This record gives sequence, structure tokens and C-alpha cells, in this order.
Amino acid sequence: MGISTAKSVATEGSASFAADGVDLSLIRWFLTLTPTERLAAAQDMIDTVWALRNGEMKPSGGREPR
Amino acid sequence: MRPRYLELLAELASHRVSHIIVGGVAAILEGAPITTLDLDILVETTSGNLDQLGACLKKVDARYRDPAGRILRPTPRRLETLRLHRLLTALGPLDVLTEVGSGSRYDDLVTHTHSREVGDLEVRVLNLEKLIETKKQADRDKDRAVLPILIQTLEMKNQA
Repeated sequence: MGISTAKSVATEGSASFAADGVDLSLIRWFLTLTPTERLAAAQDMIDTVWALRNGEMKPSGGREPR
Repeated sequence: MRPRYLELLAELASHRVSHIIVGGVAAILEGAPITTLDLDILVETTSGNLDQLGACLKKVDARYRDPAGRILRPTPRRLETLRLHRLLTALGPLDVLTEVGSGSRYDDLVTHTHSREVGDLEVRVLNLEKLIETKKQADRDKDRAVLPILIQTLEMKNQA
């Protein structure tokens, strides 16, 4: 896989994906953050999954399971 | 054990452990939107640094992630002789490496790092070019899975 070989695919609005499926809009957003903010985003994701998994937080939206 | 990256990095800093952040957390700090559960560090293998590392690991209650569930601690001898230490600490999973890719050590890679401010800390992070190179050399499924994102991130950083 060459560094300069991936071609991007324009989709609706400003979002676009690379030909290999990589979400370029997500990278674009992440690059606007500082390293501290990037690490905090990763930590937030882990904390949220951890809390959901351990029943410390209820998923928002959708119906309650029967 | 929930990973707490910043607190683990703060412990390494407070014990003055010479290290380079590599792996997934390095990718995140360099701008790649990926997820990871462990902190990977490449350590300098001088005896003084391994002593500092040993003290730090003791403070965070590190033990090996042993499939048999045994409590095995990273002793000074183990730290000197093994290439990879997959540890679980009170602050989450920590992988301590003395080599990455096809045998690159701290001294080989320290010139390919960026100093980054993270919170109140200043950390040394492997740059994306070298991170991609080491992932290609390692060539495991988990490395190949993130390579497209790392490559696109590097390309977009270079275009900026």
C-alpha cells in the first residue's frame, strides 16, 4: 500500500472517504484537535464504553429492551 | 482495569523514565482517529533507566497479563532480558518494549520523535512516518488493520 496511492471519493456535503474506506472527515476533525484533546477524546470513548459495560450508564435513545 | 492514559504517563514522568510513546496512543497523539486500550512505550535500556522503570512499575502495581492468572511481577532481571512486557497496572494495560519493528531500539528512534504537550506533561512521541514503518515491519493483523488510517493521516498532515 503506497502512501500516495489512495484516492478519495466525494460523497454528500463535505464528507468524503478514501477508496479504501477510511473516513477522511474524521481524520480532518481529529487533526484540528491538540494532542491533549486527542488523548481526552480517546479517554472519553474508553470511559463511556467502560461505564456502559459495567451498567454505570444507560444508553440514550431507542427503546428499553423487553 | 480501565485505562487511564494521562495518569500512567504522569507516573512515568514523575519517575523520570526515558521512553518513547509508540503504538496506538502515539498514533492518537499524532492525529490518527483510532482506538486502543493499552499504552505502548519503548524504553531506554540503560541500567539507571531500568531501575527508574522498575520503581514506577512497582508504584502502579504492574504484573504480567498472564493467561494462566498467575501473579508475575516485572523484576529487574526480566526487564533486562525480555523484549516485550505485556503488563496490567492499576492505571490500565501497559506494554513495555525494548525493541519495535525489526529491532529498532530507543537510541535508533529517539531522533524520529516529536515532543508533545499533553496536559501538564511533555511527552516524546514516535512520528507517524516511523510508526507506519514499524507497523509495516511488524506486519501483524492488528498492524495491517490500522495502516490505512495512519497513512491517510500522514498524507493529510503533509498536505496541510
